[in-house]
Amino acid sequence: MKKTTLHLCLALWTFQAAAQIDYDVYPEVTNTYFINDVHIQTSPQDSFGLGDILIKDGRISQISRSMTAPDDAYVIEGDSAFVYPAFIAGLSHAGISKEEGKKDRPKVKFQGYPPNSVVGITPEKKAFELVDPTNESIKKMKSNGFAMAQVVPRGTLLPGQGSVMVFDGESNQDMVLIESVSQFMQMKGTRGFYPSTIIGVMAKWRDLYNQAATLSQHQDISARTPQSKRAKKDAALEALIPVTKKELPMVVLTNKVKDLHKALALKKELGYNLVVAEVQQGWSLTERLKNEQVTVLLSTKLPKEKKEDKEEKKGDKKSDKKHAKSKDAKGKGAEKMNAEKMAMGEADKMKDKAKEKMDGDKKSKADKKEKPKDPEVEAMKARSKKAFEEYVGQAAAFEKAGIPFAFSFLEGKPENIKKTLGRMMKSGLTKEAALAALTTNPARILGIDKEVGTLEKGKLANLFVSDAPYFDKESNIKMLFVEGSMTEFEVKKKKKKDGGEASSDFKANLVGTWAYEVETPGGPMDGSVIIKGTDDLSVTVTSDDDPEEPREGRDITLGEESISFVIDVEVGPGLEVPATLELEFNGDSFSGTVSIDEMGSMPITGTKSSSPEHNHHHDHNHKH
Amino acid sequence: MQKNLITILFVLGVLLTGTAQESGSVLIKNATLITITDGVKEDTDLLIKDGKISSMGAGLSVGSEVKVIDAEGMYVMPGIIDAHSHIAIDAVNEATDPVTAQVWVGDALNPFDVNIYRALAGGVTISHAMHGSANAIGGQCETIKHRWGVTDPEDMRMKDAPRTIKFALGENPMRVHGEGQSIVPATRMGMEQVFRNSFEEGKAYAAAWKNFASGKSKTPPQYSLQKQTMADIIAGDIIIHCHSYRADEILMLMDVLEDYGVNKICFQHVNEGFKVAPELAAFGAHASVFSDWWAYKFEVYYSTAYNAAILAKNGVVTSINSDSRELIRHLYHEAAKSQKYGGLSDEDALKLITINPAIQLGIDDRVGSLEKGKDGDVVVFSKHPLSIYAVPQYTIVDGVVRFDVNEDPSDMRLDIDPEEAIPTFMEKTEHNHDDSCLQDVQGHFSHKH
Repeated sequence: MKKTTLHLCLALWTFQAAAQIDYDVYPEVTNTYFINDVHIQTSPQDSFGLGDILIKDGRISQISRSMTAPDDAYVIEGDSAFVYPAFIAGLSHAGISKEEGKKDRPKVKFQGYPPNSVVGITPEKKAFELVDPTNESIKKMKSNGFAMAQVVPRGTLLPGQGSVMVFDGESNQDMVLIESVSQFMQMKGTRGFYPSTIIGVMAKWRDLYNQAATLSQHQDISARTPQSKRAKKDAALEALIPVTKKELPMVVLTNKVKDLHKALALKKELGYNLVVAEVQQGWSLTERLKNEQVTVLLSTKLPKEKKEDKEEKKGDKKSDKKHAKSKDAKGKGAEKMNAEKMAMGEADKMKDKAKEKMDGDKKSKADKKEKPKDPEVEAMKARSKKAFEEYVGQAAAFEKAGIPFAFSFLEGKPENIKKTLGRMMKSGLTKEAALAALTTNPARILGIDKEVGTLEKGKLANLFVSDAPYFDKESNIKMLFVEGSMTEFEVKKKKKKDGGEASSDFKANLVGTWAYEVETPGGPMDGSVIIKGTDDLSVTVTSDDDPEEPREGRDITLGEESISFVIDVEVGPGLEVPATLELEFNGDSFSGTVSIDEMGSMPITGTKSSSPEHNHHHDHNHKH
Repeated sequence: MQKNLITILFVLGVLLTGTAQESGSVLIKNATLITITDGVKEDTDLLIKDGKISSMGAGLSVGSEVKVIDAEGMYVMPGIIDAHSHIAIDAVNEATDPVTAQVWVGDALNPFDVNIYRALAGGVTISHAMHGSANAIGGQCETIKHRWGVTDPEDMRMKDAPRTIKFALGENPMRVHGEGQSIVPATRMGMEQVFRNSFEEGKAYAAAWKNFASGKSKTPPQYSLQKQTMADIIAGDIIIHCHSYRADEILMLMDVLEDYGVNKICFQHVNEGFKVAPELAAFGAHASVFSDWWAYKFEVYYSTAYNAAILAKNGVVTSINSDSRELIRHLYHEAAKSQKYGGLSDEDALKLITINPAIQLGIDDRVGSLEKGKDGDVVVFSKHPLSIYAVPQYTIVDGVVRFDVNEDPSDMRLDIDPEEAIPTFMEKTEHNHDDSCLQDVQGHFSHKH
């Protein structure tokens, strides 16, 4: 982005901020705020100690140890609270409705040449145009300390351009700081249309990129050659020309190491500036990313802690019960019986082997009454644990490699940020690097580090006030300033449950019939998930194609707002394989995945279609 | 138990750290060398130095830093080459269009596919990872080396191997596009037209760019990777590997290619190849067949286990391929069947899985036989590879031992999903009965099965 544009934007914006009255937040009778007696973390490394902050017209006017509040200032008694530079999300969909970017599905006769919109190729879109300032996601980000974000459109292959947004203002025009900072890409195809697979996606991207470059060449020739053939207008290709000229970077979604390799190979081949985003498995590539000057936005989605690990902590009673139950559920259908016999036979052999070993080791473990463990399973568990630690330790690995990364929030939730940082810090990420990843690093990446990222005189007044040091488990964000505009938050009382446990309300709401849709490679599949019971839940899944064959769920595990279980599904004539369903609930809807070994996972969504009459009443009575 | 666990982790650790090395050195002592191109040499040593075969002879010695394998009583042959497989790729078919010459399975290489290791356990060092047969002109393929342990897809490629592309005749493209989309090709006549149209487009595209380069036209034509690829085929830069069964269609495609001056073609499957063997030989076309696999669809009923032998005896460069992650583990058995049915000599039978597929992939100057200067890709068998009792002991790629039967832990995964449940026995051995040639396509012509 050019500096002149930025300054112009800022000047304009400050003017509007001064004129704005936001009754929802606080009636702004003054643009001057005075926060006294607070611990001030001016940057990731530096703390000012106790002092006062004066905010004027959206900017930090002064930070000082003893200052008198000006007459026109609204005075906030800091009470030794803690002030930090507000967070900046390196990548987010904040403010963009989930409906946005959902592709229209017109009846396209020919799968090979669909219109761009059908396969999610809309590079001409700019994110800020799609932002709704009243969208709930912005409130969520603000209440967790975020004042700004690079927002990118939702969609499929090329959803559009990223915009830098400030979370204050009544319209998207108010909020936008930089209209276009990047071109966003997800290496995703569209089922049933070209490109549908990763090989189609890569080829299509090469085509688009080279077509944009050729179009640019054609435009130049036409401009200087009279009577030459006209270059035809193409909004999508024109939007990609700045990428071919290295004026805009490509932000590419790269969860796994394979995705990173693809993105790096394409960068090498086509030669644009690359930002890898939502990185979850990049620790082995730190040197290469550094050498090739790739900007890194790490994912805030970490692997979920294993249920069995959690259960082990809680004691064996519960898991024993579950085990017995899952065995019951398994023994259905003659084919399955056979398969199970074989599996059991093999398992028995292994157990015998393990037992022999155990007998040998008996002396050392004589006082421990342990069940013989399968060495093969134990070895796999150990590798699983190691992988788990590598994922959680990724941020620390990038810090160690000296890569100044920021975070992306397309998959991880901003409301979990503190918990997530806690897990990363336990794996070695320093506090300084954690703060930098949310303040100074994204500011530099987005080219706005002169304006935001630290608390300094003259910078934008983007800061939050926490009632305890931010990383304390019990700390709460009380107040956020975004460009000098204040929002106060109610400090929530702590939930009585220690996180991870399903509440009885959630369980009660689970019970009923849920209509689902799975996006399979062979087209969408519909059916119902029926959940019954009160304490121990049972799950039955039916398919609309085959309603006569209900599938019983086994290995049912409840999370805080989620449920997972396994069913057998038919993938070919007479061929059944286990599928794991992991569903995250949000009120009366859910989303999640259906995973089948060797086939990968498919997205599933659903909504509640009915609640059981008596259960429902019972619950209501119970509550009142 | 604890000790066992540590051993497994240690072995894996060694394997993982050992992979940074692209090529290595190995001395194999006192083996029977089946050179393929220069007879059988008994009681001979073979030295691979820095990834290349450096010498063969008696009493070779090396410094203590080089691994030495005592292969007394064992047989050494060139690493087996599979000219038709779909392992180690994340996508097989971009089945949305009868012509997708622009796509490339080399974009979807998956170094974590455990089938690479399983293929090594069957002595296979190179496979031809192919696009599927859903489209008349499918995607470009990739010749990969089975360097199990590398994590960068780039490291799997056999550098400088010629480009190849998948074509497909007959029922598959007709079913997917004719039946599925109600478009051309719905018939075998339509198939021919699809090829001719695409070659015409490629020709016109090359001419348009030539005109722009020479200044004859002032402005550039629109870029098209698909048409560029067709132009590259016409220019002779890409070898065609064509899924085919029926003799009439095989003759049809040779006619089409002749019209466009294209002669680099290997017919794949080619079950009715025995009917047109002289014509194939005259055209210079190659054939890559199954040993004895047929009758899985209508157009594959007229077949014979003598196919490989008939083609070979007619002078067609013939190979036996797997097209399957299971068959790839015992291609030496498949080669042996050609002896059983066609009476081929040991050497000719083994050529079907070594030098001949190398010729078909355009890599015979580097692999496919034991010759000084060729890549150090070899497999050490416990017995003669055409014996039913033979078991691969070591599989070596570029002088690096990638499979050692004595160090073969049960968990060979390279990429662990930390959220994945520890799999039980049955879940992991469930066979996939889908025709892998038509992977990713199911949804395109029927909603169920």
